[in-house]
Amino acid sequence: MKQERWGERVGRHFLWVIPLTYLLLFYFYPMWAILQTSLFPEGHFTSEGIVGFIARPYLWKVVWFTVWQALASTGLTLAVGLPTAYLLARYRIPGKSLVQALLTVAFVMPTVVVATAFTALLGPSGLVNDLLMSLLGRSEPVVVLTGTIWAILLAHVFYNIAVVVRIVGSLWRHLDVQVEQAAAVLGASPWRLFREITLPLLLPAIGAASLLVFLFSFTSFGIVLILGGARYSTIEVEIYRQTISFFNLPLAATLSLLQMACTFIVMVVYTRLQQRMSVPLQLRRAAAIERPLGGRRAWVAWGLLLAVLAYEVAPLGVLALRSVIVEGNLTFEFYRALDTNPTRSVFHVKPSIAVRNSILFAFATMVISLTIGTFSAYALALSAEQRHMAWVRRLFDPLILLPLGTSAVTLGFGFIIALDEPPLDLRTSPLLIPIAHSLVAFPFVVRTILPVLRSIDPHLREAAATLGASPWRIWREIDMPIVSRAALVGAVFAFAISMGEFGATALVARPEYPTMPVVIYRFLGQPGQRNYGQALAMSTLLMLVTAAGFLLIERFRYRDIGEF
Amino acid sequence: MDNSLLFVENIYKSFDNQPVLRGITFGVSQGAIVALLGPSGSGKSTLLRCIAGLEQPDRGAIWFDGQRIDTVPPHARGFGLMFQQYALFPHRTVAENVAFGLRMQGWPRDRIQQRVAEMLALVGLEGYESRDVLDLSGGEQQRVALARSLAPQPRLLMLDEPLGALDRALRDRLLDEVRGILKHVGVTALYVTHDQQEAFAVGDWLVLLHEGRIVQQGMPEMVYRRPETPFAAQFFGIENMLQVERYGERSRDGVLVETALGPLWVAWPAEMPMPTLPAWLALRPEAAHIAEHPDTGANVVQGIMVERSFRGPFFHIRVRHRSGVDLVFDVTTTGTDIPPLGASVALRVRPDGMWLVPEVA
Repeated sequence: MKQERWGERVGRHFLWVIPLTYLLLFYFYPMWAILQTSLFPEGHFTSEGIVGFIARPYLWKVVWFTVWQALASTGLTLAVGLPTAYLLARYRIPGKSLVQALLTVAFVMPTVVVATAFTALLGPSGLVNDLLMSLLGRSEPVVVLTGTIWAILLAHVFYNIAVVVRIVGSLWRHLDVQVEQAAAVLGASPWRLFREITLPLLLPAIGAASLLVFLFSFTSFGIVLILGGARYSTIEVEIYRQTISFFNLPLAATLSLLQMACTFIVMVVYTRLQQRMSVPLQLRRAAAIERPLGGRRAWVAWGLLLAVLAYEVAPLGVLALRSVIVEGNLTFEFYRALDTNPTRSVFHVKPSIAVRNSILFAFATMVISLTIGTFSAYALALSAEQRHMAWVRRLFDPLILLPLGTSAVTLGFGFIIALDEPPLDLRTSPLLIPIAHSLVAFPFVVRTILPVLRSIDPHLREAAATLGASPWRIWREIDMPIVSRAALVGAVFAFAISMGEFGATALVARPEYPTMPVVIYRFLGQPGQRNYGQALAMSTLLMLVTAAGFLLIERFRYRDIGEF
Repeated sequence: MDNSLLFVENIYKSFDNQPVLRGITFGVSQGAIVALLGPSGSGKSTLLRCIAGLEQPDRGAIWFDGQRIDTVPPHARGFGLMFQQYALFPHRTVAENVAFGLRMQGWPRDRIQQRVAEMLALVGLEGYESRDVLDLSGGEQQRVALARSLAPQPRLLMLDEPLGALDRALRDRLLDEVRGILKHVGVTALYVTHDQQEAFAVGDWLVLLHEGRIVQQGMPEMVYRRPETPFAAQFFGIENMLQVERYGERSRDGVLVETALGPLWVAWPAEMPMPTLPAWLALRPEAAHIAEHPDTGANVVQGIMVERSFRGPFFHIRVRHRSGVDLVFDVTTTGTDIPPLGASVALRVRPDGMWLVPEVA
């Protein structure tokens, strides 16, 4: 005889009908199209795509390269990240929050910006070569790292130190020192203590961080495309090349299937690990654990920290410098050039239009992601509260994870093969870009809002109800104020993701609506200092916008919500 | 239906086919404080939530002031509910928490401010208006929660283990204070607790719940002195339960009861029928003292001291009767010396410290 008001029931189903419809149209339909293109290109099953794949040793090389560079990136990132995480977690270090902020800024930078920055630092005419050439009196570049695996690995490590420091560090910071002290009193040497106590406790976090770094490197697109040159190709880059350069759609589709399978497996394992991490150990307040840094060790520690800092700051700093200094003179020539449209230009429009496009797309992405993300978060939170809705959660939870585990290029590829004909012909619609971006961004919004939503004690709503608040009033007085900060963080996240998104955009962007990353990439592909200078200028602008967005997020971040 | 302000009529409620409430009927009269007492899992919180409208009963009716209210949504019932963990709104100050219900009722701002100050003074938190609720101690949070639920002048105030989250010493101190405030305001209140001391101290009337049913209700003192089931006796801390072998002679105000301890005189009102056997004789812990002259008078029980621990105002002793039965008593420290361990002890049991409890009510 449970009486549920009709409106409530409709409202609750409405919550997940909207995100579900959106996912069906813009995620599952494109993914289905990929499957079709790969396995059923003429309406019936053909193994051509798979055979074509297996028959080309070149593609095997691509897969092998994708795997080993991801493994190498993960290993190198751990080697740098774990000691950094330890120092930041266990010692009282002045300027600690600044270090952490810098690491995170690096992590949120668009791939195109970082790739351009590394060319400005390590390229043939990069800062390092300029210095070496003038030092050694040579007229030829001394070490050219761009176009080699080293530039790719360096860029991947640059990105992912933040992942290790944040995930492992946040656990390390709160581990109960008393457990370690107990082991020490029982006679464990520092090394055994680390091996037998600390390491096992940290292992889930290290595992989760490694998987994430592996996933990011595995699906790396902009970095490999720009820094790897024509010699290196990951699966992600290969999908793009097969689509844009060779128009071999069945092969691109087969590669996309492979990419989806790989990333999905990693994502599933990651989620499992993360759930294990949320089993609370006895955690302590961080302040009680921090020690002052002193003695001989301090030098080593400071050396490491400063090296990491230099590593994170140098490329971005050089990028900004090079965009305004030409042959020793301060000039804004490249920035001015962005606002002109010379007849020989590679674009139909002024490059500065791309700035406007990017901002408009980013706003649209923000609105879509926030709407879909909020609905999804509520659907998930409510279904968790109500036992008879548990099946919704079981079904919906992994569904929301799927887009997160799908690479951007795969998504873009799915869009161009699925949404180009009736009933959904969005080929020429400028909406295509924000829709693609929102698929990348909305899982982040869900992950920012959901923990906050779940953290609201249901008794708060009940207390408000017994004090005379109607359901609508409860939402306005209790949910809204508590969730709004998280929603704001999610919104800025979505905005920043959209501004820098390159993988999906590279495939779906129309020539008449270029975005900033697309313009930067095209400038980099053109010869001449003027084009390169404009790439630097545009990258610097994008870097500043992203950094500003990040600062906003930090300002509104509510406690420690939303890790990646 | 009687003339109660709140009348709960035959309420049933199950979760996942697990019955939690199994036919609850009771009334609360205007201005009374009713203590709902029961162990955890007895259904007392669920009952409270049904009355508040946070749960829908599967069957039965809830009447308030002659109106049937079980289909009225919680915000329209005009009741107050104080949660065990207080459920203070973390994003609002003390004053904003207390003002919440008043704002829902649409009070004008100046009257809200005045009322908030009044309520904070009532609970002893003058000047706390702009404090952050997260900065308050447990006891202070409890007071804010009380002020918040009282501010809108609820027609019925429900308190769900309001002192449960506090430590023992603070609890004892706040107990009298809470009762004082409730009586001062004159609000009709339902007070849920699992602690019999709390229920005795705060309630004008006590309702004892067990496994979703009401086991016994009445004035706290009467419920304690006259438990009607073995569960009630044990729940009130009576460990000495002896199987009644037979009843002996009956006098005007008592009856001779035969147990393993031998015959004992038990005070029993003449107008009350004797419980039919099988039944138990319950000896309350405070019912005995060391007999100074064990050879004279009735109701002397002899045994060996097997446990004796000093608790300040009394000794907690365990005495083994020769039948093998252990008796546990709290004997006062003033007066006779307490014999050492292993010594033989003679206890005199007061006739009005015992009660006959039927096996099945």
